[in-house]
Amino acid sequence: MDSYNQTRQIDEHLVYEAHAELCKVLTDPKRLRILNALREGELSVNELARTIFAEPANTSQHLGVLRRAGVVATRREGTVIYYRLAQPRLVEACRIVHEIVLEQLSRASRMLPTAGEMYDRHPSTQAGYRQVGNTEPSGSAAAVERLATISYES
Amino acid sequence: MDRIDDNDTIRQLFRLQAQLCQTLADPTRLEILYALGEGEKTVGELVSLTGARQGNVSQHLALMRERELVRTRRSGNSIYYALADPKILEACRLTREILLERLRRTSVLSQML
Repeated sequence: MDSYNQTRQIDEHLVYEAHAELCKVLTDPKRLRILNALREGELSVNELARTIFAEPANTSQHLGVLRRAGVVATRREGTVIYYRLAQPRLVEACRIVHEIVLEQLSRASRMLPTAGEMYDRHPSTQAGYRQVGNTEPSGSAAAVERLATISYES
Repeated sequence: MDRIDDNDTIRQLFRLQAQLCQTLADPTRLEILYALGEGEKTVGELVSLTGARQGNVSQHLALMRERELVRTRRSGNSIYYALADPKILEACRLTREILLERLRRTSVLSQML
């Protein structure tokens, strides 16, 4: 291997490492929800906390991770800090991953008899499932279809 | 997003998305992904392309298969691995562009100093 290829190999590895690090930032559902919420425009910590159903302190922590990774940027107005997306391309990447997951879910739902079987592993889901069950008698396939229309639709 | 959207299905969806990102959050798995972007490969081919150990590559492939990132096809004695959904490459390409720009900026900066 000549020295050019050696250098190239090292750089290439550096990119894979950095890429994996950036993916790690996205391995938390709350952080993904923050990015999803910010697609509509900038929001304060409190507004974000309400949108993603989390405590403001917890939301701040997640925002700190996203800011340090350069994924979100901030603007101060008086005492309020507003967060916005700093990397629209990363959000587009998330949208693609989201689409893939939706397709996986819809494939899986065709193999499962009801939405209940899919979700009743979670302790707090009984009420939610009954609600879905009432309006969507055809089970999880319909639930997944409904999902596709609410999230990440532009 | 309305409060009404916070049902279990949405939660499940973001949880799965986070899980898929976690599957991508490893340099060797990313390298495997890019290699498979060129076409289906055997474990042996992936080992020589990535320079990782065979056991290591097999482990990564097992996880990627479980998370439905890759699928397999048997032909004779060989098992071929392929991308389950090539769309994932587009997501990786977008992420990679951001990083390459950052790296370029950093190296321009270090040349200036």
